[in-house]
Amino acid sequence: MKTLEHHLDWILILHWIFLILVGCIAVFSATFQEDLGWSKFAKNHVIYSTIGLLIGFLTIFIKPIQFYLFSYIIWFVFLLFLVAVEIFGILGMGAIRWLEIGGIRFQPSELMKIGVVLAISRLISDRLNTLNTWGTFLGISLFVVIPFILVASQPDLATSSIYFAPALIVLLMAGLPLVVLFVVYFLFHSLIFSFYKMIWILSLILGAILLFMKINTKWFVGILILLYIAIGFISPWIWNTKLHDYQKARIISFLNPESDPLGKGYQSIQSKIAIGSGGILGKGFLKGTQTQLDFLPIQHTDFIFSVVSEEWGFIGSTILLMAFLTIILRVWQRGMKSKNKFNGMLLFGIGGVWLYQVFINIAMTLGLVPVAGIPLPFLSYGGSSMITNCIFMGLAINCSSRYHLYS
Amino acid sequence: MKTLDLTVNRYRILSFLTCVFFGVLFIRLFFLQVIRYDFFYKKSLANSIRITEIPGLRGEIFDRYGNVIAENTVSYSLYITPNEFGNSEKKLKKFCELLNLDTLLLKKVLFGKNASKNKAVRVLRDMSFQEISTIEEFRADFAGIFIQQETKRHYKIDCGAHFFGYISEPNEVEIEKNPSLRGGTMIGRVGLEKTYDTLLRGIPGLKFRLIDVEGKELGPILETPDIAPGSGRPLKISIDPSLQSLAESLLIGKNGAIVAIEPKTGEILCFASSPTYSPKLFDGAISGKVWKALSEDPNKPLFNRALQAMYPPGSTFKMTVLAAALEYGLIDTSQKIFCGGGIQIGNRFFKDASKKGHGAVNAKLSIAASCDVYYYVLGQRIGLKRLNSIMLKLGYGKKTNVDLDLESSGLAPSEEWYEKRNYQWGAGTLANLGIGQGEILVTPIQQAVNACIWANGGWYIQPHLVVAYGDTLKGEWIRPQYPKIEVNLKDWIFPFIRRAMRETVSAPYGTAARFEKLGYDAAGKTGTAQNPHGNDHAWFICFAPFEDPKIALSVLVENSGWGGVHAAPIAFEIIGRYLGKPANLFDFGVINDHVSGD
Repeated sequence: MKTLEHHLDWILILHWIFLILVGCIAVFSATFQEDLGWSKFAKNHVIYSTIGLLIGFLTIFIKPIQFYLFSYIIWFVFLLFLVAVEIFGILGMGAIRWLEIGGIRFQPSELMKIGVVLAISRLISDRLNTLNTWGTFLGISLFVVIPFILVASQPDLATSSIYFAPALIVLLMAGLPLVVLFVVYFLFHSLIFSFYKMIWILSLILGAILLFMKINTKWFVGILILLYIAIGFISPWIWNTKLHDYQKARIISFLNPESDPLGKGYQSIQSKIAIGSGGILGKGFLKGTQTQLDFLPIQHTDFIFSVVSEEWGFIGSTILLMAFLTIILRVWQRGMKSKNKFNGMLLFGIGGVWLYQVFINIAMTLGLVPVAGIPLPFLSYGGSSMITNCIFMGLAINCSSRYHLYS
Repeated sequence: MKTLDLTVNRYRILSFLTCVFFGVLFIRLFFLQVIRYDFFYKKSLANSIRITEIPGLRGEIFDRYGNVIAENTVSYSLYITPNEFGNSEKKLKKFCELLNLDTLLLKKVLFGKNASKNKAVRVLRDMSFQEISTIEEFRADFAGIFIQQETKRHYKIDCGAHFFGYISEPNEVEIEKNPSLRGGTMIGRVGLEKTYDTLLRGIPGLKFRLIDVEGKELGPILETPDIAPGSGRPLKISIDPSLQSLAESLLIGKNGAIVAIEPKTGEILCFASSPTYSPKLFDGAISGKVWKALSEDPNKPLFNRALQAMYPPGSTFKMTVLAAALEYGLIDTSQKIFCGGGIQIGNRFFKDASKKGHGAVNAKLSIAASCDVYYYVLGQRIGLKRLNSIMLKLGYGKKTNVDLDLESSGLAPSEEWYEKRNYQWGAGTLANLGIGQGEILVTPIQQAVNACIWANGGWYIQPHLVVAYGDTLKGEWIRPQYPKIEVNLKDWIFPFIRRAMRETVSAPYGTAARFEKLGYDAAGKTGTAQNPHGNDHAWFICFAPFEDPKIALSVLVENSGWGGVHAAPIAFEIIGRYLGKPANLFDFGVINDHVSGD
């Protein structure tokens, strides 16, 4: 263990503890009531944070080879949890997301993030030389798409979409040719833009030229183009003739479940008012009027950033942003330097999850993207999310501290 | 080395893109918090929104002829905003004295733990004219009070309390579980109001109000207009109000129940339990005094006798016993049993209601003249197991599943039931069960269903009150399908027992023979259930007209005596009204005759 102590990644550790403290303060403030003081949420959050820190620190001392060996099993066990949600799940906030085992209620879709990152890290580090093959493609699809479908059907499209982020970053960093990604995107593009015919045709022409230049197997390019055209015609046809109005409404609300529950962008407007009125220095701890008057129904979970922003202002928010940025850049750096490929892939995967969650969550509170139910790592209220992210952090510190080792 | 370069290259691009992403967030943050600070700061001061729910209008209830019998009318409620009212002991006390309120309770509502001090709280619901004028008079003395127009439930008929049920405000526990109820939603507690609560309640709307930093309401918001609540769905029920009110008036001064059903459809025509109360007592807010009187009355007017009370069926049970004996071939229809006024079983003499005895009795006569000895014998022949199985087939020992809650299932004793209680059962027990005494217990609604089975000749439809509920979107009535239950016995048994029941009225020796001259063509069975705690309970179950039954009913009058004397006349009054041939029973001289034998 001597080497580990010498190389322990203090940058990650200190930023981690800093974020957890900010989270505790923010949740306390978000759920503060004059005559109650400590709310149930604030107490729980402190408990979750403590448990998270403990589990995270324990994770640091397990050798990464163990995670490598158990990665598929962990993925599979978490998958069983997800299947169990479908069968015995508990309803909350209009969807079935929770599972209760022995009195402990948790959200398997959060834990599954760990399973997905471990599984794809192992798969890709094992197959670095055969990346661009159908086998790898199938493996990745298996590990990502199955949990995606299960979670999306809960329905929780926001959480399920996170699984793609680490897969994408790990593949890119493992050296997957960009043209493969382009092929996948090409078909997806046809589905989305099949309703905007001008863009659809332009993209077809440009895409076809690009594909013919980059891919030597011409018949394969031909199939791709045919698929593109087929998707472009079939999807509007299904939408216009085969689906009833209520089915369309269901699909739209499925794609964006929290689109407009309270009237025109209520949450988004309230979040912007809270953040904007914070100013440069903020209104101070427990002084945020928007926060304290309960304008945001879920401010202690998904909108926790607006609480911090209102009370600590532009300076506080910037410090928070810098802390996240530092963590992610550090993870990228150590991922690149890792002598052990599995450790490296793991770091990229974890960084991918965080980058996606932090960016989407904060962009949402700033009104840049539509409202989606994605929590902010280490700050948002919620036991499953906290524990998951702390395990990620334990793994990240673990791999980062051993970057110089081959095993 | 090529792959290494690729990784380093991509690492650089990735780090750069990460910085770009954060840069976007940073710039947006700068824009909101530094450049647009003034704009948002002003918004945070004044343009803040509070959302409250507006309860939907409760669904109306229509009778079988399409007339409204439960609707919503205007009422006035008093609201107080705690912080504006002020937490002054003296003021609070004076206010409570004026309106006759409980000071401690009001203090808890306004300044308690769960109170939101800048939000108006409803303090008084359904205020009287006097209360309103008192407030108007002293309005200047108090701040933060206002009167709001709301709706309240209004029952238009003065009967039917036992099927309507009532609604009331949610209590603290319910509000904690479901905070959206705070908007003034009312909850159905018993009866139809409870069974169909979710249909009746409707979809709450939303109210958006500007409030200032302190939480005071400033007014509505232009960009987000209020969302109007969706009204609850109306119900159409099968009750005939004139029949209902007749039934309740016939039971005045008595404890008992009447349930009448249209046999072909299972629709309940009237459903009375006595003593009762006016459903109008629950219009708006019921006063504590009235509620206390109702719940502490020793006659239990809140207790639904038609549904919850269980009685031994007495002789009205004889059709069931006869059906069991015929089904298992334990007697044939012509076989006679001699009745000499009683029978010795073991060391006990079982008396017949007729002291002289009925002589040689066959199956038909046993029903019409209600011979007990015949059934003491049959009870022993059938045995517990077979009797229990037939009872379950005929709807006893289980709920009828009528659309009201708190229904009792009665009791169809089985061998296991006796064994569990270490009860030594033998020939005497069986003889007793044979005449519907002993451990058997039935509810008046089960007896009405039983009447339907005989009326229809072997089947019934699950009894129900709601025949349709409105589809608020399409404006159409949706008619729920109720299950039809076939009673599987030998085919010829039902016509035979029906004819025997007809003779109860039509034959000169029948126990209800004096009603034949009314010309209703009725068939039925009288019953007098012995009651260890007091006088006998009077039963009568019947249907009419015989060929094409339009109504089947059961009548129970507690502690009154002979079924033929105290229950049957009530049943015939109701039949007369429903068939449109009302007859004054006194004119026919059928009320004061003394009739013995049951």
